[in-house]
Amino acid sequence: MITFIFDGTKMGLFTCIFDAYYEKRIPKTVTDKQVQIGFYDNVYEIVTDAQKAKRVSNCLKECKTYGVSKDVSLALKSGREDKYTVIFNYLKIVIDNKGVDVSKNFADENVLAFSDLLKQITYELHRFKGFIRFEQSVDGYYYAHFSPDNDITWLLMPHFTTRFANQAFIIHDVKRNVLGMYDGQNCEQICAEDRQVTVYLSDEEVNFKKLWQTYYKSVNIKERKNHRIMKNFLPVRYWEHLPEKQVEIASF
Amino acid sequence: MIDYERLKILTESAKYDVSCSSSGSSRRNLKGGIGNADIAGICHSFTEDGRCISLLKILLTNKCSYDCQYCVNRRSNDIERAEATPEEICELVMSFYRRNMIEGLFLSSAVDQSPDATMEKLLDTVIRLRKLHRFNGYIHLKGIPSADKKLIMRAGEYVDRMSFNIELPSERSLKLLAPQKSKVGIISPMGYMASEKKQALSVKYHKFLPAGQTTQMIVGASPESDGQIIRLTQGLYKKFSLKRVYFSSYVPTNDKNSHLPTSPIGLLREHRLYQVDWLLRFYGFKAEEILDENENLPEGYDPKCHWALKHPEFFPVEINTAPAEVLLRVPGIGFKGAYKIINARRYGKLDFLDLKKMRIVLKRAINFITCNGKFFGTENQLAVKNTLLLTSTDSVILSQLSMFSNDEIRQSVLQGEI
Repeated sequence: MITFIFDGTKMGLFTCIFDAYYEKRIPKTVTDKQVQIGFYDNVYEIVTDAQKAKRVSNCLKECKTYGVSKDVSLALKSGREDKYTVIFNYLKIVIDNKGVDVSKNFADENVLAFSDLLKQITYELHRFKGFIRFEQSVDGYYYAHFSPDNDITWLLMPHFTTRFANQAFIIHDVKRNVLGMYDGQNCEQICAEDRQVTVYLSDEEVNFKKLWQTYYKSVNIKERKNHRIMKNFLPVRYWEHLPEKQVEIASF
Repeated sequence: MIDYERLKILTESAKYDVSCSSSGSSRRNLKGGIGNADIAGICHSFTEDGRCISLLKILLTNKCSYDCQYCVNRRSNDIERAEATPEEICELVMSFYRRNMIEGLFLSSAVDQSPDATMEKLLDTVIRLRKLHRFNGYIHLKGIPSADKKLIMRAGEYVDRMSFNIELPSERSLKLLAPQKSKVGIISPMGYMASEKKQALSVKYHKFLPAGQTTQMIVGASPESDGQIIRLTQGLYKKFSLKRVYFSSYVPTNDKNSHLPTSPIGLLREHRLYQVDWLLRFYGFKAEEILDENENLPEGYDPKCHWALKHPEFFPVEINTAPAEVLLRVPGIGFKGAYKIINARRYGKLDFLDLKKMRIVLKRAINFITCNGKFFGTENQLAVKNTLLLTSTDSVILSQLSMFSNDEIRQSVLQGEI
């Protein structure tokens, strides 16, 4: 079993591809973490090399498969552990079949796995266009916290900046401690790392929260109770950040 | 700001309107304004009943002068009454919208005094939102039957979607249960709105009702058969180019009228009707193919399976050559499945293993397809039917089948041992 370890960047991943072909050594897994090494494992540390990456990137441009580079950038936002392996396997197929657009060959498990990976990200992105909840701070800007499976904060920003063009807001991914900020004109992404983010909420927020909870409760039709569907559409792991669900979490 | 009590009353009175979609409009934000609409629609939350919240669904008032027997807000019903001013509604919409709790407003009202007065108030609210609050989010406005044409047409310039509920599947039932409403009052505005929209589009004017019209009818409160209902549905799509027809399973709210059922009729029938609705809109089926006029839909399996069982001559279908519209008629292959198959077979012949990888529901499809000429199903009609019954994914049915308690017994049923 061959394992590649690299730095997790797009360039690093392209270097992995280069080395794999150059050394004729195809890894079973590609990862950015130190892994437990089994007795039969061969682990190679891949050092990111801009020139190698450039050559792979040029090669991908020659491939008939449409939009690979963009898709890979998106796929790297995934929160899944095995994402590097999935992307690596896909890139290999793209390069091996230079003359055809392989992106829709769903009978190939590697293509299907990559397409599923992308779908998970875009689906979550779409979901959070709805599940983000803002609260107004004492300084007037709006603040939202959430913890998505994938690193989608930056991808969400365009949606909210067009919608709330004149409204300053912050979207805070508490899982990764990443903030997307918008001041009414410009966007900025900040990685807070281990610094604490503190927001003082306006006093009126309690009232809006209660109004929203009242609405949430009243619009439900008791006779049609269907918890399973509700949970399918609104997974429990998202509840923590939704005001309408906080009553229920408290009563658990 | 509106108080909790009134919000509760006005929402509880509005919740039986099914439609909550916010799709179909791509209204853009204007300079200095707030909000836009997303063409695909966005769900902001889901209630305990599994329905999505995308719009703030509320009535201006639930004080009603009508006495429609199926409706909670009927005059003779003893419930709490409340009303809100247009400005209160606007404020609520804006504060919810800024917090990204909603996608827009779904506004309706009980008919207090006259239809015209009510429609005027609804229109007032909508114009306030658009002009005063510079709101460019989604608005779905309920039309008041028999209101003045000018008022209704004017609303079409401001809102994204409008709907008039036809309420019941036949004129006879409407007369019986909603004596103050008339078929003409409901149908005629649908007609002139549809033709106005057609005209607007012909001169490339996209601001009139960008998300079109919808309607809703109650099933289970009156004696019409499923066959009649789906014919009516098809007719509505054709005649008024509606975006959606919604069905709502009757929830008993009135035990004093002998024409109405007193116990809930269950959600299965509504579910089956929606399945037909999808077949009509996306799968290229016609109502006449699915059911005869006086027939009802089977409970045990979905309408596509029903059609497939009645048409053995259509099957089996060759996966590697069949066109999309034929693939879509195979039980177990839906839109996503057909999309994958059609794309994947360009690269090479597909076999059953490939289909399995692509997550096609082979259990259901196996009796209706061939791969490279090979057929692995059974032609025994009874066995096919049993498989469809048992592979149905609907929880309602699974619970009905709970007498076959475990997988083992289910398997033996499959093999025809029971």
